Amino acid sequence: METLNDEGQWIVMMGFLVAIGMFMLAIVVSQAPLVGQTTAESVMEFPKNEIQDLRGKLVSMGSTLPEISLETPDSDQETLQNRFREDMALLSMSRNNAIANYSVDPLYNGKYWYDSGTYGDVFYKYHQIDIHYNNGVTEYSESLLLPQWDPEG
Amino acid sequence: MKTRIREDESGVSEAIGFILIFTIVILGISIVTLYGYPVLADAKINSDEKIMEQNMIVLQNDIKILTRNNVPYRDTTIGVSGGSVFVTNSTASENAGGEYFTLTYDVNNIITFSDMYYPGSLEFVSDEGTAVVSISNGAVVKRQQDQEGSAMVSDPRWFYDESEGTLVIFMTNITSSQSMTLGGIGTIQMAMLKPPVVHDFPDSGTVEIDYFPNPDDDYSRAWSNYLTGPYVKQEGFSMDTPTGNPGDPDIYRLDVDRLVIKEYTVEILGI
Repeated sequence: METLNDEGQWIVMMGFLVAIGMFMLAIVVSQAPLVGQTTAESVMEFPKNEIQDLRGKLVSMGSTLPEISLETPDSDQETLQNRFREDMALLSMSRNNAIANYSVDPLYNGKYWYDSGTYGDVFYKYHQIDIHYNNGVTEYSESLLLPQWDPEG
Repeated sequence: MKTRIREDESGVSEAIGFILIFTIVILGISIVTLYGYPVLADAKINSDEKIMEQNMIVLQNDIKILTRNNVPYRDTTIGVSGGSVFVTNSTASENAGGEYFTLTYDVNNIITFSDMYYPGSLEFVSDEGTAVVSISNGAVVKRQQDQEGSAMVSDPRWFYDESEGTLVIFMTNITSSQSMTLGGIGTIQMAMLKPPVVHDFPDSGTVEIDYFPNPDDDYSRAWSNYLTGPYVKQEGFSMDTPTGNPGDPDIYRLDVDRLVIKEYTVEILGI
């Protein structure tokens, strides 16, 4: 009776292992061209400083942001407010290619700014400032509560 | 010593054995030559095209850095294999009937703005394969030679802001002092020294974008997929039914509250 010589079977198994390994490598290599763009772009282009600048400006303006009202449109305050808003939009667009806008207090009784603030507690009246920033890759919206500075306490 | 059923070898011919083995060897060699080699060559062409696609995305990112990040100069070394890269100047493109865009802004049926843009291009044409990859107007687009259709590999960064109703369009022109070609390894030097021209229209109206393709270098399908798809705005631009006449543009429209157009000119200094 002839017996089968099976001492060489590991060669066949190694062949399979190498083939599977090469297949896996080929998959990895074929994925490589897809990487370049997104990683480079997302890391470099996140507009952290730009958003902080905008936010910082609004916070430092704070309660000096002039009041606007739909009841008396085209008032001096409204003109001033719109100028400030337009300046910010223009600067953001020309320097950062971004849309920037903000609004102070949600619309209530035909007024955007109201004396009691959006919220209040014992110490302060708070005005809600909604910031919106979009540069095509990152879109950012924030609602900020600013305490109103009151010199008379 | 193995047990053998038969020890008799009288029916075994050395000549026939040689012929059998020799045939197997020759068949093996010819199968590899006829089928294996072309597959390898195709794989090389494919990988060349893939690498160039990636290179073009790198160059597009360079253009983005020049135009968006206020960087004046930029250079990148790339290796071009299996084809060549050509620079087409925007004015040369205008004289040679290249592709162009017209932008029109219509406020209450009054045309407030209308302009023509010849973007020029930085184009890779494959020698062995059929792929053509091009950077034009800030986008990377791809097509196959002598075939209809095209695809957008990487979008330009136009965007629409839903809460402000603002559409921002970047038109990027490529210029160069002379025509340039690159095969092999070279450094592409780019500069943006002219400040961008900004048009800002705060009144709501209808934007109309007409794309006039170059019949020999037609990327209309890529732009139509980009503009009507959910890339700029979720619902996309609306597209007029194409007339089908050669030379007629594809017309896209969108109603917006505010339109901003920024025009950039990127100069290729040398490759």
